[in-house]
Amino acid sequence: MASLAFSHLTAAYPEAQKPVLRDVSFSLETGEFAVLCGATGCGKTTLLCFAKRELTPRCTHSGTVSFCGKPVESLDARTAASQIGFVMQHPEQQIVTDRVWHELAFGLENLGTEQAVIRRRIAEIASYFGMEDWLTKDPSALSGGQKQILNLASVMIMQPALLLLDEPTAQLDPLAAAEFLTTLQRLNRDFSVTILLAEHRLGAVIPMADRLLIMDDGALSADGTPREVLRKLPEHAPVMAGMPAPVRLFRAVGGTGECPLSVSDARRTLLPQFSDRVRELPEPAPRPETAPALEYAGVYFRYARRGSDVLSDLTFSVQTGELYCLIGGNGAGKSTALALAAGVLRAYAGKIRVFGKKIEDYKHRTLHQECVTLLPQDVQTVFLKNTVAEELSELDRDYAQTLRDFPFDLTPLLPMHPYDLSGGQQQIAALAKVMLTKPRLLLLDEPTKGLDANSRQMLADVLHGLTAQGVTLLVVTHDIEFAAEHADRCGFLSQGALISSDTPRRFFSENVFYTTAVSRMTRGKYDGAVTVADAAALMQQNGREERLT
Amino acid sequence: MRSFADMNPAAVTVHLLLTACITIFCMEPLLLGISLLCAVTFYLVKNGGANRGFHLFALGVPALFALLNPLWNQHGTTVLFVLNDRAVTAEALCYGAVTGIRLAAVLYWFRIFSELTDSEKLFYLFRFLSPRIAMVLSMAIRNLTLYREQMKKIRQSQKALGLYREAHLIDDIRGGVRIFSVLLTWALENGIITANSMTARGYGTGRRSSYTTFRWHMRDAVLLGVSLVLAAVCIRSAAAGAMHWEFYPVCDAPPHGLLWFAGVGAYLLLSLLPLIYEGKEALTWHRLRSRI
Repeated sequence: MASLAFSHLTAAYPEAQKPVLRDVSFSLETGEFAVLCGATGCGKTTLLCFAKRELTPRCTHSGTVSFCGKPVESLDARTAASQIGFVMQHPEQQIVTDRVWHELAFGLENLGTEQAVIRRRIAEIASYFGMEDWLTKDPSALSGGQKQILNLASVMIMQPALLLLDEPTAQLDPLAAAEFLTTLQRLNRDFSVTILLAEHRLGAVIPMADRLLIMDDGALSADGTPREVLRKLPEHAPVMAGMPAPVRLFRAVGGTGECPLSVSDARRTLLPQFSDRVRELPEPAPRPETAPALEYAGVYFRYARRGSDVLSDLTFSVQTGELYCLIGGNGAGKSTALALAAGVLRAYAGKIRVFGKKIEDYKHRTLHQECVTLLPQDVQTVFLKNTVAEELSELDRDYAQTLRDFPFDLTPLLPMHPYDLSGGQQQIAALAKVMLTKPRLLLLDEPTKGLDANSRQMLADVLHGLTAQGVTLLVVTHDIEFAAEHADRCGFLSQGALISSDTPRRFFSENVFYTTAVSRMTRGKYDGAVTVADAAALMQQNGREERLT
Repeated sequence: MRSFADMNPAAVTVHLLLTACITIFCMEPLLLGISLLCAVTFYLVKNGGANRGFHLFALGVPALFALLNPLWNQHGTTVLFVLNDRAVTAEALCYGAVTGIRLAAVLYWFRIFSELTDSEKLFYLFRFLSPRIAMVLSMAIRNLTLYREQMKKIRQSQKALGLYREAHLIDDIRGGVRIFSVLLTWALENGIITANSMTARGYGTGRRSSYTTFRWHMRDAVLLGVSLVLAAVCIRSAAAGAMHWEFYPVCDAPPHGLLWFAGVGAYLLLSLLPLIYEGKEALTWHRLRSRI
């Protein structure tokens, strides 16, 4: 029997011109793992909320949603709460109580479960999710990934048959995201929980999924197994840019046969279709050397006197007008390095120079005037006003004039509340606000976090526009695909020191583990192919392998 | 090894409150002496030589009080000497000393209570009053942490943005006001998500149960029962006036009758209970460990 079935659901928010969902019909069998993707604002969240009785949006709607054959709205309150689990995007805000064990108990308490049963379930779930060590902790002391695992566990403890997840990994770093998804897959296999997962970072998800649903402007535009859907998906569909690299490469070169979903698929089925007479693309002309905008020389930093060094002997420089991406694992000291350059923290040894002048010599907050600004990871903390226009005029009355060269049309955003913007729009509005202080060096902390592929592209265009105007950008990121496509140079930070630094092509083709999917796919066959565009260009130059039979 | 702190917080709290309250309301020097001695010993057993500052405070302030009382207080008949035309009496000195001991004993008992009780135990105690209040308190604490962190983040990012243009006090205050107002907006947005997460997990679907990590064991019941019985004896004796000293105009001790013996004896046992329990557990542990 179908676990979840949508039948001809059409819905519109009051006072909206067009419906948010248009004639959506599909059904999921028990134990199916389905991924729902689509651009931001296409109605994914609304669709998920319709399946969760307690969160049903206040829309006028027609059509039905049923769970195990019964309309969702006719379910008894406790059944609906326990049988259908919902995990949202923001790890922090979903947590209710101030202890991990209490958070786990919360759902069962609401159902009036007995003490002894709750005790048993907590012990079981803590052991299943490997969270025994943090049971007595305060959730705010956990990492983002741990918080999201806690949210998943506190839903799973009620033994739901259906799990709805709204971009649960958007705020996590790639490692934590992969761990979360693996856990999800394990739940799906071990307990045959039906899963409907809305997601736009699809690289790791698609190979796990049984079903792929694609939404486009409120309607379901495709539904089927991932391979089926991806073979038929139009080249220029908005979701294409977010697909895993093997899929994009397959489509870009017009590969034949089955669509590869993972790196190993692509190495097995796609690459042998092409010859390798030309092994390498010509090296692009090197960027002319310019004066350094930011130099770190033997910088050491620690947060507490008795703590350990977060940065130890960090030495590198960023040239004026370049886009430098600093990558590395969690706790490698990336954000700390930015905070030092922004003057928020102070190194205990070593020198940092900004445009040739030592950072301590910028007195009376002059460092932040027409010189350096830091755009923090959580861009919401940049906004203080009720509209974007107020936000901008706060810093500069004549903001329209100052921003006339800003490489993005801000007009549609101006009357909106900053919190109502999408993630990508928030990033760009924050960038615009930051540009009003006329910085020559801009430090960005994880600007692509939580963005879908299109917003990411939009952001990249704005960043390139800024470097063209001579602004220097130092970007800290976990997003290696972004770094490979857009950086002038990349640096790898580990244990507080810079391990290597080079142009993306050389940098990623010399890395073995910390590198792009394309680089891992083409390794040994082509040299220096790190982006989909590189590989596609090489494969097209080479042409198909002639099979002599 | 188990310790007194691992007993059920409800039993521990009842015991400590009874011990402290009897100290507050009794005016029998021997009982107060016992109370102070037991409290200090237990505190030393648990903490060793640490927290010298607290000892200095808890013993110093009452001592000062005892010395100063005769200077203000002119009651009493036995004049010891005259200072600045004011008579210093033996009765006032005694009264000061006894009140000082009482104050010190109470300070030690409350300090012991606060060291044995963390926030989690406090919530457990609140549940007895109302599970709903305990839940709200737990959420409030969580939100306060969140707000404090967000405030710090906003301030830091505004600083790095150069929002405060000059090193100006007025500018700093204005910045603070703006940050506070945006924090309210953020708190509301944040609250909606939390509320959704709560209803999604069935909050408000009917009668709730209230889970705690603390359990009742036989030993907790014994502690509670013994404490109540001993305190009852003590209170009965105090109510009959068997343990009430008069200091003015002359020191006057009540007769040492059966009630007096019962009262002081019961109190001795009551305030020794934590030490007895620790001692018994230490012995058990020693015996068990010798078998390993």
